[in-house]
Amino acid sequence: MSRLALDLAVLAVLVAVVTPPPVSAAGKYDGSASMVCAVSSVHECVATGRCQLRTAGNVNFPGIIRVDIKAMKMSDLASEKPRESAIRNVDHANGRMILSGAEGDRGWILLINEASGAMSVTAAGDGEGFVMFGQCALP
Amino acid sequence: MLKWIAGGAFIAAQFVIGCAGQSGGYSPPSATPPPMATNAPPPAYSPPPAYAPPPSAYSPPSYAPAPAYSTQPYIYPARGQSPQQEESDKGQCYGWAVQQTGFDPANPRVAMPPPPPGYTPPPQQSLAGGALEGGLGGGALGAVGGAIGGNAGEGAAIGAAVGGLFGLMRRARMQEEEQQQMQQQGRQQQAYMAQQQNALAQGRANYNRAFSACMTARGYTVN
Repeated sequence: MSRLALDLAVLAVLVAVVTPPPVSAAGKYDGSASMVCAVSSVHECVATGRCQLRTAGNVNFPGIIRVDIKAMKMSDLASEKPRESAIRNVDHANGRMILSGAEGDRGWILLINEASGAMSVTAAGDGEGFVMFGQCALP
Repeated sequence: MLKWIAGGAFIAAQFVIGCAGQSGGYSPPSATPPPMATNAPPPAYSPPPAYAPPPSAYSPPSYAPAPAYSTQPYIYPARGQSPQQEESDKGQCYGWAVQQTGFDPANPRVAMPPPPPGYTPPPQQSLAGGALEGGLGGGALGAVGGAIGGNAGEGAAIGAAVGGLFGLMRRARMQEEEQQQMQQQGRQQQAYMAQQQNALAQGRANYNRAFSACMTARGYTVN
């Protein structure tokens, strides 16, 4: 991806975060078009019950990802090294789009509010879990 | 008038004599050598040499020179023993002290508990080997992640070229714990080495005490 496209994607995410979604835009984040999502906060938890606030970079997760429902995959936009994850399931419930998959020794669920584009992600492994929040935008 | 002429001649003579006496310039005072010491050491005296085993009384397998921090006792033959006798006594006292203390200064070893679990000697790994291992590891990880994610064909293609999003996540806490563990291992290794040094010093001190006791009993002054 070219530098210009990456900048545009980041700009789109920032605009989406700053601008409150209009009511008439409900359902536009339903996966009919690919989305660019930015991770704003990461919480790293362990089985002992302790959670700590991290950044995406701290836990080796990309700060910006593209969610392409039609291609059933998510990809890293911020890194030059390609990182992708396959989406195994897509579900819709109560105005939320729920994506899930498995990778390595972890399973993950990504939830997107179809009206606002707000994103919540959980990734769980043995004795550990990551909870991430962010915002999606339509580039 | 004659007085004036005689006075001038006297002054001139004094000037010439004065210059000749100084030999043409400055001459430093002659240094007098210090008085020679008259107390010669007794004939039987031998200065304390670096310890060397006598050839006849004993034969240690391989006598290594003592480390620089070791304290060699000074030995004086108070009863006028000959150097040969002194060497013989040293050798016998060496064997006796080793037997008594279990510490051999020629082969300084002490009984130590096993090293800490994380103790590993520093690896001598070449850069090429590390790079090779890293490359292989990364490729394998990407292949595994890709094979697990998605359908078989697409997953295989992804795995061959890319790494996963979630599978490559890494706990920051784990990184911190690893750093703490490495620091703890470093402290344990330092403590182990210090303990080893202390044990060696203690063994050497015990040996010196035993050796001194033996030599003293044989009529030497040991300090």
